Amino acid sequence: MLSPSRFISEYGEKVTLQSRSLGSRDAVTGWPAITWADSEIMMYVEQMSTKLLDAGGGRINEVRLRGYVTVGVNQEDRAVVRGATYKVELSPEPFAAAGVVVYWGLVLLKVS
Amino acid sequence: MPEDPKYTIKKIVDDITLLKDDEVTSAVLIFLYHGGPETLKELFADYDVVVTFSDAPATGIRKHHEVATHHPETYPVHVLTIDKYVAGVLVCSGEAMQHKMKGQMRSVIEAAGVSTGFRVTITKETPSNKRVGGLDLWETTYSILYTDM
Repeated sequence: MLSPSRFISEYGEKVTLQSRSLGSRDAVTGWPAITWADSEIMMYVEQMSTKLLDAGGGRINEVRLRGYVTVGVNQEDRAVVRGATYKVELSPEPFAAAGVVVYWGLVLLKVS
Repeated sequence: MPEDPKYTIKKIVDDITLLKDDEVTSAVLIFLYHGGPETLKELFADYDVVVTFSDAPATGIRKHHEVATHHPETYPVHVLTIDKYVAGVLVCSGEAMQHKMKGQMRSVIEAAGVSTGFRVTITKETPSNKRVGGLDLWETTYSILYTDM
Protein backbone atom coordinates (compact mmCIF):
# COMPACT_ATOMS: atom_id res chain seq x y z
CA MET A 1 0.00 0.00 0.00
CA LEU A 2 1.27 3.47 -0.90
CA SER A 3 1.99 5.92 1.89
CA PRO A 4 -0.22 9.08 1.80
CA SER A 5 2.71 11.27 0.76
CA ARG A 6 3.68 8.89 -2.05
CA PHE A 7 0.04 8.58 -3.13
CA ILE A 8 -0.26 12.39 -3.33
CA SER A 9 3.03 12.75 -5.23
CA GLU A 10 2.11 9.97 -7.71
CA TYR A 11 -1.59 10.61 -8.25
CA GLY A 12 -1.81 14.29 -7.35
CA GLU A 13 -1.28 17.25 -9.64
CA LYS A 14 0.90 20.36 -9.62
CA VAL A 15 -0.92 23.27 -8.07
CA THR A 16 0.25 26.84 -7.49
CA LEU A 17 -0.16 27.65 -3.80
CA GLN A 18 -0.55 31.38 -3.13
CA SER A 19 0.30 31.92 0.54
CA ARG A 20 -1.33 35.00 2.03
CA SER A 21 0.55 37.61 4.12
CA LEU A 22 -0.88 40.74 5.68
CA GLY A 23 1.12 43.96 5.53
CA SER A 24 0.76 47.57 6.63
CA ARG A 25 -2.67 49.09 7.22
CA ASP A 26 -4.38 51.56 4.92
CA ALA A 27 -4.76 54.98 6.57
CA VAL A 28 -8.42 55.32 5.55
CA THR A 29 -9.93 51.84 5.79
CA GLY A 30 -7.60 50.39 8.44
CA TRP A 31 -7.38 47.21 6.39
CA PRO A 32 -3.98 45.53 5.95
CA ALA A 33 -2.45 45.16 2.51
CA ILE A 34 -2.51 41.57 1.24
CA THR A 35 0.40 40.00 -0.59
CA TRP A 36 0.63 36.54 -2.10
CA ALA A 37 3.75 34.36 -2.36
CA ASP A 38 3.57 31.69 -5.06
CA SER A 39 4.99 28.20 -4.68
CA GLU A 40 4.38 24.92 -6.48
CA ILE A 41 3.01 21.97 -4.50
CA MET A 42 1.48 18.58 -5.22
CA MET A 43 -2.20 18.17 -4.38
CA TYR A 44 -4.59 15.28 -4.86
CA VAL A 45 -7.85 16.94 -5.93
CA GLU A 46 -11.40 15.65 -6.19
CA GLN A 47 -14.75 17.29 -6.93
CA MET A 48 -16.84 18.01 -3.87
CA SER A 49 -19.92 20.11 -4.64
CA THR A 50 -21.43 22.86 -6.72
CA LYS A 51 -24.24 25.15 -5.67
CA LEU A 52 -26.13 27.97 -7.38
CA LEU A 53 -27.01 30.76 -4.93
CA ASP A 54 -29.00 33.96 -5.14
CA ALA A 55 -26.74 36.63 -3.64
CA GLY A 56 -29.31 39.40 -3.62
CA GLY A 57 -28.07 41.49 -6.50
CA GLY A 58 -27.35 38.47 -8.68
CA ARG A 59 -26.63 34.75 -8.81
CA ILE A 60 -23.32 33.08 -8.06
CA ASN A 61 -22.07 29.55 -8.57
CA GLU A 62 -20.01 28.07 -5.73
CA VAL A 63 -17.69 25.21 -6.67
CA ARG A 64 -15.91 23.25 -3.96
CA LEU A 65 -13.01 20.84 -4.29
CA ARG A 66 -11.51 18.55 -1.69
CA GLY A 67 -7.72 18.57 -1.70
CA TYR A 68 -4.99 16.59 0.06
CA VAL A 69 -1.47 17.95 0.54
CA THR A 70 1.71 17.07 2.37
CA VAL A 71 2.76 20.66 3.10
CA GLY A 72 1.31 23.27 5.44
CA VAL A 73 -1.45 25.41 3.95
CA ASN A 74 -3.44 28.09 5.80
CA GLN A 75 -7.05 29.14 5.73
CA GLU A 76 -7.49 32.10 3.31
CA ASP A 77 -4.50 31.04 1.18
CA ARG A 78 -5.33 30.49 -2.48
CA ALA A 79 -4.59 27.65 -4.87
CA VAL A 80 -4.57 27.76 -8.65
CA VAL A 81 -5.96 24.41 -9.80
CA ARG A 82 -6.19 23.71 -13.55
CA GLY A 83 -6.03 27.44 -14.29
CA ALA A 84 -8.77 28.46 -11.84
CA THR A 85 -8.12 30.24 -8.54
CA TYR A 86 -9.69 28.77 -5.39
CA LYS A 87 -9.68 30.01 -1.80
CA VAL A 88 -8.76 27.65 1.06
CA GLU A 89 -12.09 27.73 2.85
CA LEU A 90 -11.54 25.48 5.85
CA SER A 91 -8.51 25.25 8.08
CA PRO A 92 -6.56 22.29 6.74
CA GLU A 93 -7.33 19.15 8.75
CA PRO A 94 -4.24 17.18 9.79
CA PHE A 95 -4.14 13.39 9.49
CA ALA A 96 -1.53 11.63 11.61
CA ALA A 97 0.13 8.24 11.64
CA ALA A 98 1.98 7.14 14.78
CA GLY A 99 1.55 10.64 16.20
CA VAL A 100 3.10 12.42 13.23
CA VAL A 101 1.07 14.47 10.75
CA VAL A 102 1.57 12.94 7.32
CA TYR A 103 -0.94 14.86 5.23
CA TRP A 104 -3.67 17.52 5.43
CA GLY A 105 -7.15 17.57 3.94
CA LEU A 106 -8.63 20.90 2.90
CA VAL A 107 -11.65 22.38 1.15
CA LEU A 108 -11.18 24.79 -1.74
CA LEU A 109 -13.87 27.24 -2.86
CA LYS A 110 -14.30 29.09 -6.13
CA VAL A 111 -17.11 31.48 -6.98
CA SER A 112 -18.06 31.89 -10.61
CA MET B 1 -15.52 65.36 -3.79
CA PRO B 2 -16.63 65.71 -0.15
CA GLU B 3 -15.07 63.42 2.45
CA ASP B 4 -16.91 60.16 3.18
CA PRO B 5 -18.77 60.78 6.47
CA LYS B 6 -17.77 57.26 7.56
CA TYR B 7 -14.15 58.40 7.40
CA THR B 8 -15.00 61.65 9.21
CA ILE B 9 -16.54 59.64 12.06
CA LYS B 10 -13.58 57.25 12.10
CA LYS B 11 -11.19 60.22 12.47
CA ILE B 12 -13.24 61.55 15.40
CA VAL B 13 -13.37 58.19 17.18
CA ASP B 14 -9.81 56.98 16.58
CA ASP B 15 -8.42 59.49 19.08
CA ILE B 16 -9.81 57.31 21.88
CA THR B 17 -7.32 55.66 24.23
CA LEU B 18 -8.14 53.26 27.08
CA LEU B 19 -6.39 51.52 29.97
CA LYS B 20 -6.61 47.82 30.74
CA ASP B 21 -8.14 46.44 33.96
CA ASP B 22 -5.02 47.35 35.99
CA GLU B 23 -5.64 51.04 35.11
CA VAL B 24 -1.96 51.40 34.24
CA THR B 25 -1.31 49.50 31.02
CA SER B 26 -2.61 50.97 27.78
CA ALA B 27 -5.09 48.83 25.88
CA VAL B 28 -4.43 48.33 22.16
CA LEU B 29 -7.29 49.53 19.98
CA ILE B 30 -7.84 49.11 16.25
CA PHE B 31 -10.19 51.29 14.19
CA LEU B 32 -11.13 49.99 10.76
CA TYR B 33 -13.90 49.82 8.19
CA HIS B 34 -16.18 46.82 8.40
CA GLY B 35 -15.36 44.10 5.87
CA GLY B 36 -11.55 43.82 5.94
CA PRO B 37 -9.65 40.62 5.23
CA GLU B 38 -9.08 39.63 8.87
CA THR B 39 -11.43 37.63 11.06
CA LEU B 40 -12.30 38.82 14.57
CA LYS B 41 -10.22 35.96 15.97
CA GLU B 42 -7.18 37.27 14.07
CA LEU B 43 -7.85 40.85 15.18
CA PHE B 44 -8.23 39.90 18.84
CA ALA B 45 -4.85 38.11 18.70
CA ASP B 46 -3.25 41.57 18.35
CA TYR B 47 -5.81 44.04 19.75
CA ASP B 48 -7.90 44.44 22.93
CA VAL B 49 -10.71 46.51 21.42
CA VAL B 50 -11.90 46.31 17.81
CA VAL B 51 -13.93 49.24 16.46
CA THR B 52 -15.51 48.86 13.01
CA PHE B 53 -17.34 51.42 10.88
CA SER B 54 -20.20 50.42 8.59
CA ASP B 55 -22.07 52.22 5.83
CA ALA B 56 -25.23 54.13 6.68
CA PRO B 57 -28.82 53.72 5.62
CA ALA B 58 -30.40 57.10 4.79
CA THR B 59 -33.93 58.42 4.43
CA GLY B 60 -34.86 61.48 2.40
CA ILE B 61 -36.73 64.12 4.39
CA ARG B 62 -37.85 67.78 4.19
CA LYS B 63 -39.65 67.20 0.93
CA HIS B 64 -40.30 70.09 -1.40
CA HIS B 65 -42.80 69.22 -4.15
CA GLU B 66 -42.31 65.52 -3.23
CA VAL B 67 -38.53 65.79 -3.70
CA ALA B 68 -36.39 65.11 -0.61
CA THR B 69 -33.98 67.95 0.08
CA HIS B 70 -32.16 66.45 3.05
CA HIS B 71 -30.64 63.00 3.62
CA PRO B 72 -29.48 62.48 7.21
CA GLU B 73 -27.48 59.26 7.56
CA THR B 74 -27.10 57.07 10.63
CA TYR B 75 -23.70 55.37 10.70
CA PRO B 76 -23.30 52.20 12.80
CA VAL B 77 -20.05 52.06 14.78
CA HIS B 78 -19.42 48.64 16.35
CA VAL B 79 -17.27 48.34 19.47
CA LEU B 80 -16.20 44.72 20.02
CA THR B 81 -14.42 43.30 23.05
CA ILE B 82 -13.61 39.91 24.57
CA ASP B 83 -12.06 38.75 27.83
CA LYS B 84 -8.31 38.64 27.27
CA TYR B 85 -5.98 36.55 29.40
CA VAL B 86 -2.20 36.53 29.86
CA ALA B 87 -0.83 33.34 31.45
CA GLY B 88 -4.29 32.48 32.70
CA VAL B 89 -4.90 35.89 34.31
CA LEU B 90 -7.69 38.14 33.06
CA VAL B 91 -6.01 41.41 32.07
CA CYS B 92 -8.64 42.98 29.89
CA SER B 93 -12.27 42.29 30.69
CA GLY B 94 -14.66 42.56 27.74
CA GLU B 95 -17.43 44.03 29.85
CA ALA B 96 -15.19 46.58 31.61
CA MET B 97 -13.72 47.73 28.30
CA GLN B 98 -17.23 48.29 26.95
CA HIS B 99 -18.03 50.47 29.93
CA LYS B 100 -14.88 52.53 29.41
CA MET B 101 -15.56 52.83 25.69
CA LYS B 102 -19.10 54.05 26.36
CA GLY B 103 -17.80 57.06 28.28
CA GLN B 104 -15.16 57.79 25.65
CA MET B 105 -17.56 57.43 22.70
CA ARG B 106 -20.05 59.82 24.26
CA SER B 107 -17.30 62.26 25.10
CA VAL B 108 -15.61 62.42 21.66
CA ILE B 109 -18.88 62.49 19.72
CA GLU B 110 -20.26 65.21 21.97
CA ALA B 111 -17.03 67.22 21.58
CA ALA B 112 -17.24 66.92 17.79
CA GLY B 113 -21.01 67.64 18.00
CA VAL B 114 -21.36 70.72 15.87
CA SER B 115 -18.31 71.06 13.66
CA THR B 116 -17.60 72.95 10.47
CA GLY B 117 -19.76 71.44 7.74
CA PHE B 118 -21.44 68.68 9.73
CA ARG B 119 -23.18 67.69 12.92
CA VAL B 120 -22.84 64.31 14.68
CA THR B 121 -24.76 62.84 17.57
CA ILE B 122 -25.28 59.37 19.07
CA THR B 123 -28.96 58.50 18.61
CA LYS B 124 -28.87 54.95 19.98
CA GLU B 125 -26.55 52.53 21.80
CA THR B 126 -27.29 48.82 21.42
CA PRO B 127 -25.26 46.52 23.70
CA SER B 128 -25.17 42.75 23.30
CA ASN B 129 -23.25 39.71 24.50
CA LYS B 130 -23.12 36.65 22.28
CA ARG B 131 -21.12 33.53 21.67
CA VAL B 132 -19.94 33.43 18.09
CA GLY B 133 -17.72 30.64 16.83
CA GLY B 134 -16.06 30.10 20.21
CA LEU B 135 -15.69 33.83 20.94
CA ASP B 136 -17.56 35.24 23.94
CA LEU B 137 -18.14 38.59 22.35
CA TRP B 138 -19.36 41.88 23.82
CA GLU B 139 -20.57 44.29 21.20
CA THR B 140 -22.13 47.73 21.42
CA THR B 141 -23.42 49.34 18.26
CA TYR B 142 -23.45 53.14 18.39
CA SER B 143 -25.83 54.69 15.86
CA ILE B 144 -24.29 58.03 14.91
CA LEU B 145 -26.48 60.49 13.08
CA TYR B 146 -24.45 62.52 10.60
CA THR B 147 -25.99 65.62 9.10
CA ASP B 148 -24.45 67.97 6.56
CA MET B 149 -24.71 71.64 7.49
